Amino acid sequence: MVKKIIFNVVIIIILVMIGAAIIKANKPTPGALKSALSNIEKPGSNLNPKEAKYYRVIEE
Amino acid sequence: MKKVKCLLCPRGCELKEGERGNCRSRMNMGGKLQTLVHGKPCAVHADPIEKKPFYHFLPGSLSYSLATAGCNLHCLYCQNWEISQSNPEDTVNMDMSPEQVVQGAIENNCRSIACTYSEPIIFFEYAADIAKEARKNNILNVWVTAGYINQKPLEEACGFLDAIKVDFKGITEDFYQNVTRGSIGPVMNAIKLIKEKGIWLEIVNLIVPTYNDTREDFSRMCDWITENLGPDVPVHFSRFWPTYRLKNLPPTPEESLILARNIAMSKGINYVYIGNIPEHEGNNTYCPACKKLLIERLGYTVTQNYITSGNCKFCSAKIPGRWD
Repeated sequence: MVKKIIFNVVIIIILVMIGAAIIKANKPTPGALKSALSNIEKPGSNLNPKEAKYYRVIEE
Repeated sequence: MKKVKCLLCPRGCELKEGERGNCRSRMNMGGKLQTLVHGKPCAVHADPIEKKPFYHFLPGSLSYSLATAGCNLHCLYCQNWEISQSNPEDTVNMDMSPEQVVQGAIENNCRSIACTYSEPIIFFEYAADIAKEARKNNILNVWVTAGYINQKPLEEACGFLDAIKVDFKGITEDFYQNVTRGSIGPVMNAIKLIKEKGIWLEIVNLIVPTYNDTREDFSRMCDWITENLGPDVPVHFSRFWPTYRLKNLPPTPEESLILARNIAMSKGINYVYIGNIPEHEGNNTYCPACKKLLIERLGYTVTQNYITSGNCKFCSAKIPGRWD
């Protein structure tokens, strides 16, 4: 029984290690695209509206 | 409260205070139309120019490619629907000024900047500012667009663009209305105007099984192209892959692409390509005069190029495009 528990714990540890290795391997390589992409914003962040071209105002 | 009418695309959205246009990226704020996506790209990559696809424009070069969220069409098969059919506040955006975009292009050895993936028309102001900055640095500007734009803004765009690839999605009004939620007339007008203005133009037609894949569809499209654009505008027939709202369809059979290509060549179109089928001879450029292979492509890679100073190396025939 104890042997079985130890065996299961070892298997779980191995699976966690493999999972961590896969996640690490799939992380994008820093600097893969040379331009600075550190300026990534989260969804919902300020969009800084700017006046558009090509429109007209319709008075109501 | 003042309403505004957007004059950028044929939709002509009339917007009350706080309302957004059909493209999701332009909004009435305080009686002024505001773009919400200036300086906020959600996709930036250094791509081979062949991926756009441009086959007669700086072959083998890289193009610094970017997009913002939103689109003024709503194609049922959109390959980039996650960004094109999203509000700009719902995508993961970068904060990149036009100067930073150009700097990115320089650092990545890109000879051009491509506004692509979604629809450059809807980020017109940002694209225009990028193009002006790019020109100062000898970087060329290209758009990958569906061409659903009004004449006046398109004329302005032709002033800062070097090449435009238009997705000519179908040859019938029914197709445009049912599959793209747009209309064919403005697209035809835009394509003709681009040609008249002398901007390098390539056409792509994505062949969607059961929607635009009959012999008559191909024939009518090729007739329109030859009559309005002449024989030297490259035409790409691309393979559809099931996605977004058309996952129920199969990919385009190779036979449909070959049929479209054969019909186009029989109508006198000189440069007809097949997209999304690697290693097919339809990926290569052949000299219309001596029929010899000029550019061999494997996927997005140019493996051989026998065009010298815009001419066929074998018979000296002039090959249209921008090659330097």
